[in-house]
Amino acid sequence: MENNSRRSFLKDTCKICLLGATTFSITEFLMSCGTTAKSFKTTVTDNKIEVPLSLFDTSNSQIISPRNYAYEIAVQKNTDNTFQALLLRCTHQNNQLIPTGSGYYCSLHGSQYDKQGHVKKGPAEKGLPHLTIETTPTNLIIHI
Amino acid sequence: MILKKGLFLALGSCLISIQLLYSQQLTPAQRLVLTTGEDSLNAGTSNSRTVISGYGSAFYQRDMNEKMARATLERAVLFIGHQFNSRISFFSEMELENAKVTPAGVGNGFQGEISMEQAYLKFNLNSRQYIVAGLFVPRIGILNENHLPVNFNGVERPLVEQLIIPATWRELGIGFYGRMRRIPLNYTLAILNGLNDAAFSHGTGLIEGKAEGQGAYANNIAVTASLQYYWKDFRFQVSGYAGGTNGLNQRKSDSLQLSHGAFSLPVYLGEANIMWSHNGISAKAIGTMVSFPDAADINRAYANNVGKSMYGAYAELAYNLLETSPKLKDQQFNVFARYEMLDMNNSIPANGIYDGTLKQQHLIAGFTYLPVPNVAIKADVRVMHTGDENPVLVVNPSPARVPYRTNNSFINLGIGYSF
Repeated sequence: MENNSRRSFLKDTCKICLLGATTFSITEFLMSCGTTAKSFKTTVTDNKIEVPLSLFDTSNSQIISPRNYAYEIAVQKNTDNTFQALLLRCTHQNNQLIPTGSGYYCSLHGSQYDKQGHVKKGPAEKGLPHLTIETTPTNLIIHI
Repeated sequence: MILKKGLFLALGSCLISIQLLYSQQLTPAQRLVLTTGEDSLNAGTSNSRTVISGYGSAFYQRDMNEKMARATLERAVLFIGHQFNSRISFFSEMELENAKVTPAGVGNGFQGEISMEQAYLKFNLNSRQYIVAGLFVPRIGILNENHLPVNFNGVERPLVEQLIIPATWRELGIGFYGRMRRIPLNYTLAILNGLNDAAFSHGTGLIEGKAEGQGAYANNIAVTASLQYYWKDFRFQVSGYAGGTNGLNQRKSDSLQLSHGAFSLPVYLGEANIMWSHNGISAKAIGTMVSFPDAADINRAYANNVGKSMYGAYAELAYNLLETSPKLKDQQFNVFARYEMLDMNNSIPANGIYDGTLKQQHLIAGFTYLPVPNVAIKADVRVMHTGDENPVLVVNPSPARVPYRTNNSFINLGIGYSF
């Protein structure tokens, strides 16, 4: 009886370890092959968001998640060292957009945008709004 | 002098018009429309808080076996959305099928119906997560959540996503939607009212058991969840549904010898799909399976001859011929081919009757021309092959009935729009 319970305990422990290892491996795999931009969490002050320019040393694109704000912002560093900031709000019915490998997708009615914010598929008809940006020696300031 | 009089008259009439406008009893929404200039012409593209938009489709279909052609305004759908504030919004879709609503049996097989496809409140928790509550379409399969005619090839919606996944599948409930911050992984989890097994009917799968927001049984409930992952030009998705189908109370259930409770007489549905698109070439594939282990109990109680399991799968390849045309880059001319296979009585209980016509294969080939992204002109041919008809299931056939053939083909022409 005691042997049985010890055996089942060992079995259950092994199963849990295996499940944990699998989950960890899958998560690591998904993180390593994910193709959407890196993400950065920040706050909004006086309708402005400050993002350190150093963020773009490792990746040309960043998804900015402002706290207490309904939408994310996709910031792209262009080849001429200029920046563009797109508000990830669908122009059809103001739904949040999902970043995909090749652009942005609205799960509400299926609108699709490319990385520059142009409409690839309707029902949206207008491209994504470009936010005003300015740069300081260390930061990128986005006006929302 | 005459100019002055004219100016006074014009100013006076303007003032009277404005007074008349505000003397009427206007709702806040009406005032918003009047003061923002939002109307059905510019709605959907404005940033107003109330948005009106919609979609629709019409088709012509010729059945080569029956030698009959039919045409119908398949659906006209009106969306109305309103943003109360940055955290709370309302979304709705009201649908009219087959142009007008008439008493049962009058529509010649094209019964008119007016219904709400969606009507729910959305509560934004943050920029990546939100909760929906009301009547909504859960994320199951490819078409259910994204069913606009400009966004799928073929005049008809894929048959697997009509007969096995009963799109557009909407129920009442609460759903949690979100996206991981560090991984491009989207997830959903929802609790819905359950299906009604008494309404299941032979050959229609789960379709007739849907409540679609009308007096749904809520003694029984369902849970659905999905995971969606984006990698380069791919999208991978898996989703599942598990729910009870008997919403009757204990006394009624006992009288029918049926088990009762939240997940009694459960239905399980699982699906996985993959989509890919690059340089004008796109491909998609889906596989789905439905299991209804207690089908025998339902057949015994209601004599509706339902199966124990169903499956369906399809794969589609399409290419936009205008992809490389610099002059016509805003237009699309997608040629496509899709192969579908499904079996609605993959396994049947001992008290079921096998129906070979529910084991089907379809090959669809045609084009979708989009002169602008929100207008589609479609044409295709569908070739169908099924199993044999079971004569036991043909009761009192009409003398004018065309004999059933296991091979048939259909010619389809259609238009669709969204805005």
